[in-house]
Amino acid sequence: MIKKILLSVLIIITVQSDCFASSPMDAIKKPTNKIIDILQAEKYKNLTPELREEQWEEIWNIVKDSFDFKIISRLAVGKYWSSFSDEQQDKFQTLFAELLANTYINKVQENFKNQKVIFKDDKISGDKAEVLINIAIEDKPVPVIYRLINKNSWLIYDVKIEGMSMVRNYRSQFDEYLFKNSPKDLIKALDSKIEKLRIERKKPVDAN
Amino acid sequence: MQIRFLCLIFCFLSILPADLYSDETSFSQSEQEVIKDFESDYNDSSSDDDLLSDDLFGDEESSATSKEIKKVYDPLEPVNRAVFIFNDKIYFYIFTPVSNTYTKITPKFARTGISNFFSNIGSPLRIANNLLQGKIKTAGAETGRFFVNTFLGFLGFIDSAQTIDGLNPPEEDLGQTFGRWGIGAGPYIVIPFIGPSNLRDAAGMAGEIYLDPADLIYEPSNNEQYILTGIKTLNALPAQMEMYKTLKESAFDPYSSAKDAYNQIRNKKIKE
Repeated sequence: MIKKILLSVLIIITVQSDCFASSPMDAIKKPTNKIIDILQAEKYKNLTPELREEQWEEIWNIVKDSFDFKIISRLAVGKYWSSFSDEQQDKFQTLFAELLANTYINKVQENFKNQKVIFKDDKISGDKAEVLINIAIEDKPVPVIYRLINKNSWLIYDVKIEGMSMVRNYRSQFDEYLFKNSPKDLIKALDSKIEKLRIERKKPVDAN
Repeated sequence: MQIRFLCLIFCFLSILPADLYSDETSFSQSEQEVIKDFESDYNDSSSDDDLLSDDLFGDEESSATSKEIKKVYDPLEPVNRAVFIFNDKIYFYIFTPVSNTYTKITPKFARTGISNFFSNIGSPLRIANNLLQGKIKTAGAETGRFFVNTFLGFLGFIDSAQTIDGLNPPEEDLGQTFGRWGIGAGPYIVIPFIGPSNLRDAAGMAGEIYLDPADLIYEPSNNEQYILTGIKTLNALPAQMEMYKTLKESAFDPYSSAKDAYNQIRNKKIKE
């Protein structure tokens, strides 16, 4: 009888620990390594505009599952969020995700091929976590902290580079804009900015 | 009876605080916690919300530092915006082409070497700033770094200390020292050609020109000083232009993005 109880306890413990196997660190490590693999893949050695686009899509597919764009949008807009209609909130979320994707994935594609990433440490506090990594840019390590929220899996809601919070940076921009303009204006302005970036991205890059 | 009951419920609902059933209902409890923390951090940048707190990754003492004002103080905004646009044009039409040419004709090892050299002769000044802030441990690390790189790194051209644990302290300057002493940032300023700053940091920058302890070892003549500053500026240009380009592309409003970025980074540096 006691044996049985002990066994079942043991089973419960192992099953449980398996559930929690995905740590915040894993939530950063796995996608990062996948992206590095894509960047170094043999088939992307000579990037034609088509291949570049294909690589971009492949990276985006990984990135979009790692970030929580709903909460990122809410944090970036701040107190004005409630003045957005449901429709505007959805639209904003899509556009903001696209703005981030269009600027940062391009940067990664341009500059990230041979960068070294060192996964340093993670810390959990309730449903929040932070993960510290170092990216060696020009041999100098740049500290990057990911802030994550637990929703069955860990999702990123902010990135701090050299101590600067990216979401906070956008917040200050949208704050200033929404002080004078309506959510509708913001969405329109965001849309035209992204359109510009999209055209830029499709343009062949001159090799230097 | 039933109507009375409904009335009661209605009355009860109407006295509930509004935010209980307003927009945040679409967010789960953990999300709301994240929002709350972010908001309080945004509205009061002196609060330390980092889980990865200083005792884990940072340097010693993290207490000090005065309360920062909620928004960056920017009474000169119209002038600043004009200078920002002026700088943008200068960066685009002059600095970027110059830096591209420089990158093309100078091999990477030379650029790294020059950057290391200037970083190394900045060491005495950083040691002084560490001491002015009472950071004895970091001053020691900076001194160790200076000796290692000067004597084992061919006058600083090779950053040998980089791979040695404990010899890579955060860089301190006079603006940070002032901040540490409790002097506020003052109005935000965009300096022509140079970019974002504030009154405190601009004063710090001016002060450093006169107070560099490196001058005690060797004081360059005016002409030498111009040449050295020229090389240093040119060599740092490619990285700065790249950074500016990224900021401009990713920003919704580059002016306020640069203002916030400058402020966040400076506040963080003063704290560490």
